[in-house]
Amino acid sequence: MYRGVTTRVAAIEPAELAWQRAYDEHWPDVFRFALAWTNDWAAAEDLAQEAFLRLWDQRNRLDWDRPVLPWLLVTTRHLATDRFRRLQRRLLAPTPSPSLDADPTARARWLDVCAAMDDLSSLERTALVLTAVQGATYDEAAEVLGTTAGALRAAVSRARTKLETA
Amino acid sequence: MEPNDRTPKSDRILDEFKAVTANPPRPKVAPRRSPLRSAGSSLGLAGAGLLAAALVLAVAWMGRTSTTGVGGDGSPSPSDIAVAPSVSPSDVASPSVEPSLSPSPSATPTDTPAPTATPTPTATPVPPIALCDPADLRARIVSWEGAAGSRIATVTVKNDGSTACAMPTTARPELVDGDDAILAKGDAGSMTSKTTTFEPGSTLRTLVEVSNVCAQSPKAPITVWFELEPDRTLKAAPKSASDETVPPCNGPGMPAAIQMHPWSR
Repeated sequence: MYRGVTTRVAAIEPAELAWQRAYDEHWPDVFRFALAWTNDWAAAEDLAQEAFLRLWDQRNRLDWDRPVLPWLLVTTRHLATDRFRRLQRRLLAPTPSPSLDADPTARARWLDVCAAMDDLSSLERTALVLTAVQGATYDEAAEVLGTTAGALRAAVSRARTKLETA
Repeated sequence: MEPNDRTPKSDRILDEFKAVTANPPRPKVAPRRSPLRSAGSSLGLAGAGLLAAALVLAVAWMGRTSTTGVGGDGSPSPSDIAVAPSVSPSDVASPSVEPSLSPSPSATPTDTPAPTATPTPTATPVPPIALCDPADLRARIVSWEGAAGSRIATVTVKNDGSTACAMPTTARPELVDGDDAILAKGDAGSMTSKTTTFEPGSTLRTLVEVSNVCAQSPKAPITVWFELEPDRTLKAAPKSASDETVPPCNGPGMPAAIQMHPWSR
């Protein structure tokens, strides 16, 4: 089961509290999604923060009875694509992140993963992470990524093939 | 990664991805804006002053982010997410939830993970080598991907020349059809004097995002050109001779948009 999609925030709670709960619960999911899309740690941190800022701005207009994670992921994708010049600081190589640089072991492990996944497109990486790591169904992942379940399935297949043959 | 030969390599990579991101770093300050309305009522003049200062910083930061490209609203469109009638202000005013002037990222730009540009050693303003000649470069579109209201092309370029040259980190992208009609043209400001050394035989790649192309019946093949500088244009080979990939027309009254990611290795 895709934990994030089924997570709900009670409607009777004030919007600020609902936002805080969403932040506490979904920050890792949003960060991981952004990281899969960009393959760039620092950019993912930026995108995830921006997504939660947008959630904050919209908190009084959202239907908190509905799962909030899809909204966050779609927002993150829009930020990463429609506004992807924000990532221009990525320039020629993934940029370092102060939070990651503080832990050399984690940084080294991430760089290995980053290199392994670098040949995948954003869609392939994200499709794979959503379904294989986050536990989303193909339909759920396709909805978040604005594509069809068939295309999503194909992207996952391509991603796995690329990783196996890299 | 677990040294298990029977585990598919892709699974091992995904396991490592999951492990590395198991506890991703959270911002030092929760990414929300200062609750002016609810906090202001209980903080008096001092609080109001602090709030005003925070607002000034927030506005300054917003201005800076817009210049770096955050400009529009990346939130899902109404079709993407259900929006309910607004929660009444009385329902959300909760001093216990917002007990203090929790500084937002807007007010503390130094706390955010580097929205500022990170210098890179390759962004050399004055390269000691000649600017790349498009005649020595071979560019091609390797894929198109769909995104919300836009299309993203992955483009590679190989230096077929015999010497290293200076490649502008970004250029002015254009979406062009089979009749050389320009369907979308990027900002002139995309052309930059910053360059990266492009070694012979090596390959760079970029992403080009195009949206809102409303041209009627563009002729195949669709491709992307890069104006490195005036009168020096790099033309990418289309993905296929029959490729008709164009993004959807989101609004006929709005101009088409195209932008590129800096070239990367």
